[in-house]
Amino acid sequence: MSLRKRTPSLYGGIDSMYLPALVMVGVFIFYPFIRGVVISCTNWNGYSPSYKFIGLKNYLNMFTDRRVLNTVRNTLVYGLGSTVLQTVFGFLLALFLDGRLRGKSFIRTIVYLPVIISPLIMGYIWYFFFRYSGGAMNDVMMLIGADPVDWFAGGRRAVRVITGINSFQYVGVAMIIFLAGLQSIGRHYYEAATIDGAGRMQQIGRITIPLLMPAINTNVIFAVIMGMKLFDVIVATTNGGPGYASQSLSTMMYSLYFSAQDAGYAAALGNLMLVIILLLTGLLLKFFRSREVDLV
Amino acid sequence: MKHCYRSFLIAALALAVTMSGFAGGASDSGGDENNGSITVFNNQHQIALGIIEGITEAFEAEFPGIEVDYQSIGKDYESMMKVKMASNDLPDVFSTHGWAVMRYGEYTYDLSGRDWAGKVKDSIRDIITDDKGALCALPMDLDITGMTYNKGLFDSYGLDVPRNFDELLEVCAQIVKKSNGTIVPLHYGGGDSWPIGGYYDFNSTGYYVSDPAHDYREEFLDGSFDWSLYDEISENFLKLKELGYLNPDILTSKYSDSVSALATGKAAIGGCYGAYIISEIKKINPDFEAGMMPIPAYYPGDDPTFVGGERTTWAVWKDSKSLDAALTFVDFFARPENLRKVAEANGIPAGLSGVEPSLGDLQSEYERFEDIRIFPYLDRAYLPNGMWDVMCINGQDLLAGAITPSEYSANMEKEYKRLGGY
Repeated sequence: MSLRKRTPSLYGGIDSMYLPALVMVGVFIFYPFIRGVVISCTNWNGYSPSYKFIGLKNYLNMFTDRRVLNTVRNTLVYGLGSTVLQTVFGFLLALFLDGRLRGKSFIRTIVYLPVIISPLIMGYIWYFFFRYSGGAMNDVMMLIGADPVDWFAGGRRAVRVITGINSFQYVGVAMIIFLAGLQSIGRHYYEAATIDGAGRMQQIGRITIPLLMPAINTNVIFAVIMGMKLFDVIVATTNGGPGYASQSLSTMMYSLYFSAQDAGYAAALGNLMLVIILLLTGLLLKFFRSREVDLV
Repeated sequence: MKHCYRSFLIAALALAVTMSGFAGGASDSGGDENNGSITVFNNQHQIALGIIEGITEAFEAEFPGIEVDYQSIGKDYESMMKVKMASNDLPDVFSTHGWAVMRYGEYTYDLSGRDWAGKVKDSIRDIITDDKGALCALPMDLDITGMTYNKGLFDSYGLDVPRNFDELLEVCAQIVKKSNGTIVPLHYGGGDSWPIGGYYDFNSTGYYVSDPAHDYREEFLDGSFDWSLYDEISENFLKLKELGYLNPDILTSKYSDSVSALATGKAAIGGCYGAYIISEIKKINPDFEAGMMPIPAYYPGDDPTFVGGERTTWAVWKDSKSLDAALTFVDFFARPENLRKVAEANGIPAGLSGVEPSLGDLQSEYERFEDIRIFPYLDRAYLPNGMWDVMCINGQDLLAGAITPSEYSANMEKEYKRLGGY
C-alpha cells in the first residue's frame, strides 16, 4: 500500500463542483448576452426567420433618436431619484426606529409591507389613487376647491410620480439595511462622543454616517439597479406614455421588440442599458468604498 | 488530469450553450381526429372569452380523447405569439386577431378543404385567403365596426347620426350644449394607446380610401404615398381636443374607463369602439340603449363607411403534431350553434352563411345601415405589419403636445419605410 500526497489542484476536488454553475451561467447569461450583441447588429423584427446584418447602424441611430435621449434621461431619474428618496427616508426611518419606541416592530412591519406586494399590483393601486376620473387624489383636491389634475398626462410629472411610487415600495428595504447597520455600531462610540460634548447631529455626522458607509453602499447599489430596471410600475400606471414620455429603457426595449417589431434596435438599447448601469454602479462603488472607515 | 478536467468543462459548457439554441419545438403528442393533445391560445375580450371557454368545455365533453390545454393570454397575446413564431413553436390552434394572412399566413394550415369552407362569407373570404388560395383561418364572426354610441341619449337630444366630419362637429357641439358640458361627446381610453390608434384606423378610410378623388390605396401598397397628406387627420384630432369634444383625461384613461363613462351616461360616443363594447357596458348598465353609427365621411360628397375584417378566428398551425385533433376542434367551433353564440357575444354577424345570430340592440342598426360600404382596417390591408404601434404611440405623443401633426406624419413615413422595406 502506498500513499500519494494529495496536492491542491485547480481542476481537481471541489473545482468540478463549479460545473453546474458554469453551465447555468453559460446558458442563461453568456449565451443570451452574445446573442443580444449579434441581434443588435441586425434588422430582425423579432419573429421572422430571416434578417439582415446592418453593422452598427442601430447604435448610431441612438444618438439622433429623441426617444432614446428622453428615455435615458427618464431612466436616470428613476434610478437616481429612487436611490436618493429611498436612502434618505430609509435612513431617517431607521434612526427613528433604532431608539426606544413602543410599537416599533409594528411600524417596521407597516413600512416593509409594500416590499412584499407585486410591483404590478402596487402600480395599479397607485393608478387608481392618481387617476383623473374617480381617483382619490383628485377627490381630495376637489374637496378643498382645487381643479382635478391628470397626474400621469404630463410626461415629467408622470416620471416623478412613478419615481415616488417605486421609492415608497422599496423604502422598507433601505430601512432594514440601515437598521442592521445601526445595530452593529457599538454604543461606546456614542458614549465617548457624549463625554466629549458632541451633540446628536454631530454624532450622526461623525459617527453614524461614516460607520454606515457599507450599508449605504449596499443600499445605493441595490436602489440604483432596481430603479434603472424599473418596468412593472410603469406598465401599470402609464405604460410608458403618453407617447414615449415616461418610458424607461426596460419598457422601451419591450415596446420596440414586441410592438414596433424592431428587435435589433431593442437589443442595442439593452446593451446601452448594461453599459450605463455598469458605469454608474462602478463609479458609485468607488465613491462609497473610498469613504468607508473603521473607528479605532 | 488538469487537461482532462479543463477539456471536460469546456466541452460541457459548449454543449450546453449549443443545445440551448435548439430549444423549443412542438410537443410530440401525436394522435388522430378523436385522440390527442392540443394547445389552444385565445386573445378574446371578456364576454366572448366566456362563450369560447364554454364551447371548449362542450368540445371536451364530446371528444374525451382529445385533451385541450386552453390558454387565454389577454393583452400580451401578440407578444407571446411573436415569441412563439420566433422559436417556431406555435400553439396547435390560435386566434389570428386580424392578421391571418399578413403575419400568421406562413404558419397556418390551409383550411379550404374543410366541410364548412364553402360557407365562408364572401366579404371575409378574401381577407383570410392568401395569394396561393389557402384559407388561413375559420372566421367565427364578421367584423363590421363603426362607432358605438348611446342611442337613448341621441334620441332624447333629438340628434341624428352624423354623416360627415362637419356634422360630427355639430353633433358634438349639441351634446356639450344640451348637457351643459357634463357629457363628453367622444370618449377614448387613450392611456391604453390602442384606442388612439383606433382613431387613425377608423378615420383613415374617409381621408385616404373611400373617396374616389382621394383614394391612395395603391400608393400605400407600392410605397409611393406622400405622407405629408397624413397631417390632416392629425390636425383634426387636435381640433377635436381643442374644442373640448374629447374626454379631458384621454392620455391616461383606459378602455375600462370608456366602458364606465358610456355606461353611466358621462360619454355619448365610443370614438373607436365596435359592438364588442356593448356587452361590457350592459354589465354595468343593463338598460343602456346601444347604437352603432357608421364612421363619418371626410370629403364632401363621400358617404360614411364601416371598417371590417377578421374578429374571432381560429387558425391551425401547419406543423402541429396533433393536426387531426386540432382540425376536429376547429370543425366543432364551425358548427352553426357555436358560431351563433360567438357572433351574438360580439354583437356582429357570423362569418359563415346560414347562421343568423340575434344581434339585440344592433339588429335595427345593421338593417338601417345595410347599404353602408365596408372597408378593411387601413393598417391591416395597406400598411406594413408593425405600423399599428407607430400609430398608437405617436398619437399619444401628438395629443400630449410632444410632436406636431407633420412630425407624426414624418414618424409614420420613417417606420413605414423601415417595416415595408421601401
